[in-house]
Amino acid sequence: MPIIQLQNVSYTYNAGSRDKVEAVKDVTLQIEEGSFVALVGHNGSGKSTLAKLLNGLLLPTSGSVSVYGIDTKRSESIYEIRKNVGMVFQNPDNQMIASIVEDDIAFGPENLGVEREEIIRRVDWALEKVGMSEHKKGTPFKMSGGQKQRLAIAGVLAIKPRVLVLDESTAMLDPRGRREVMQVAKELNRQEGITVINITHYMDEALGADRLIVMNEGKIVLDDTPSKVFAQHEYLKSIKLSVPPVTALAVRLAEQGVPIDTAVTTKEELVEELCRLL
Amino acid sequence: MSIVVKNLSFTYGTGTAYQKKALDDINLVINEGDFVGIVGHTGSGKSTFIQHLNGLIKPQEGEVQVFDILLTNAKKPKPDLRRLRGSVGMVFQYPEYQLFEESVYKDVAFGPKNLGLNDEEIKERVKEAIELVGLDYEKVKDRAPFELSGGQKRRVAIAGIIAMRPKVLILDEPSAGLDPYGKEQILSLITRLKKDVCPTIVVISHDIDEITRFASRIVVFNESKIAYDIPMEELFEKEEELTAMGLDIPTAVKIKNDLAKKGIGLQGQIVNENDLEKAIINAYNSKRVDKNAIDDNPGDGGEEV
Repeated sequence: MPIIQLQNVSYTYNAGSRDKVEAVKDVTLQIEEGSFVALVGHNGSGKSTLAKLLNGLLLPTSGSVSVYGIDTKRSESIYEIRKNVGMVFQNPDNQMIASIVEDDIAFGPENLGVEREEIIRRVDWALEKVGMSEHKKGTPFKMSGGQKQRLAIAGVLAIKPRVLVLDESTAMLDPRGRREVMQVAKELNRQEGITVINITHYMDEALGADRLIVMNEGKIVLDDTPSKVFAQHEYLKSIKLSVPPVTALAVRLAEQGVPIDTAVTTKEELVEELCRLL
Repeated sequence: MSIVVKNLSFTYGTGTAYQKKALDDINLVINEGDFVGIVGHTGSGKSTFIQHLNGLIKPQEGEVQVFDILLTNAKKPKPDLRRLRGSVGMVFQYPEYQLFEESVYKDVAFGPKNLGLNDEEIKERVKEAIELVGLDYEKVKDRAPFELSGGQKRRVAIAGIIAMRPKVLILDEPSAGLDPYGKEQILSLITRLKKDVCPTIVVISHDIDEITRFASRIVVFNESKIAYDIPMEELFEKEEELTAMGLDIPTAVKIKNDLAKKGIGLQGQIVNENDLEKAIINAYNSKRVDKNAIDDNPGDGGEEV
């Protein structure tokens, strides 16, 4: 059974007013439990709106979203839904609420009424999962962006979600911070079986996903394995998206008459191709 | 010479428990026409450094000379900060968060107004700046900044700086957080500004692939000091040292190195993707020519004795 199901979902901002914006248009989508899904689209494509529909932060204008079969419109189940679908946002500075790391991580389970012993266990577990155990008594404010985002993930983990939604969580990080966060997300997916939905601008982050969904103008326009999606580089360009840098280079070489396989997505594959040709 | 920095040091929180030396004896000359990329890990001192260049931070030790304006720790004579900030434009990280006026026009006009220009001159500069950053003046001038997209807002923020007609433009992570399309637009804007408006540009970036696409010079900050200020090709031979500083070398250089390990040497300087692309095309074409030459002249291999 899919863990999240969207049936003909549309969402309109300022519905009924002059400046209404149809951000998501008639999207039907199933997310399988345990999968690692990347969702890309340029600014304004509707991807962040879609993310907020997944745990009831926004409710569809029409259609339905369900998590483990529970409709997000059922307000009495909203805690259950939010417990299952945790979200990490873009700005690392906006997601910390306590001045000590362990208090910050404990905030979620405290709100859910989890008992003290269990909270302590969860805080330790969550910090270990994101590789931040030694900072338990530290303060988040002095940390790097990558560390803060890992703490934000730990805060979400402490509520024991089955789905982790990263809404452009690496956009404000430097390359090292980005790698740290992606590493943590991959480990949680592999080791804990947590379903990950990574909403991103970075095509190279989409490479490691099982499935790549591309949005444009509120609709899903491509939904396939990353390499099959990247093969459509002309189309991606037309909707203001890029392919990974290595693929882009191969495409430019091919355009200039070098008979290279443009399906390469990693540096290693490119080097192998070039060795064959040069 | 546009900017000359001599023996500049700076310590935050002197005498407190949080005392931290952010700059340690920095010496640097930025020439007119330079396109300098400043790279360094978070906390390496690069942001503290650039804030000295337009007088946002006063030197504690050493001096900064910007054109004819000298900045030191001396109380007198007072440097003309207004003129300094008109000459050195600074675009901070996420500048769109600093938009505050009710219309795009007013926001862009804020800087020139502070320079004490008359209304006519201000209007001319605002129009010019908005058009330079690639927005339609008539369409956006009366709109509220918050109605615009992220990339557009950032361009409005840059227009606000351009409208002061600075001679040096400093940008801190100008493309951070934008989608690929927004990134491309900002990068081509910077290239255009360099060519037409502001000959000297300093850019802080975390993305070595991006910065090597346009910078003519890279300065590496590490632990409050300038670690390297050497030609790029030489710099990227120091992969181990750079990695230890938390920095990457460009993907193009990595690919060149991997090919070299497999016995394929590419010709010419390679510091960015364009260089790599050209070198690969050349290598491929010359190999094809060699091969054709052999095919066209069978037996011309010197076997006949």
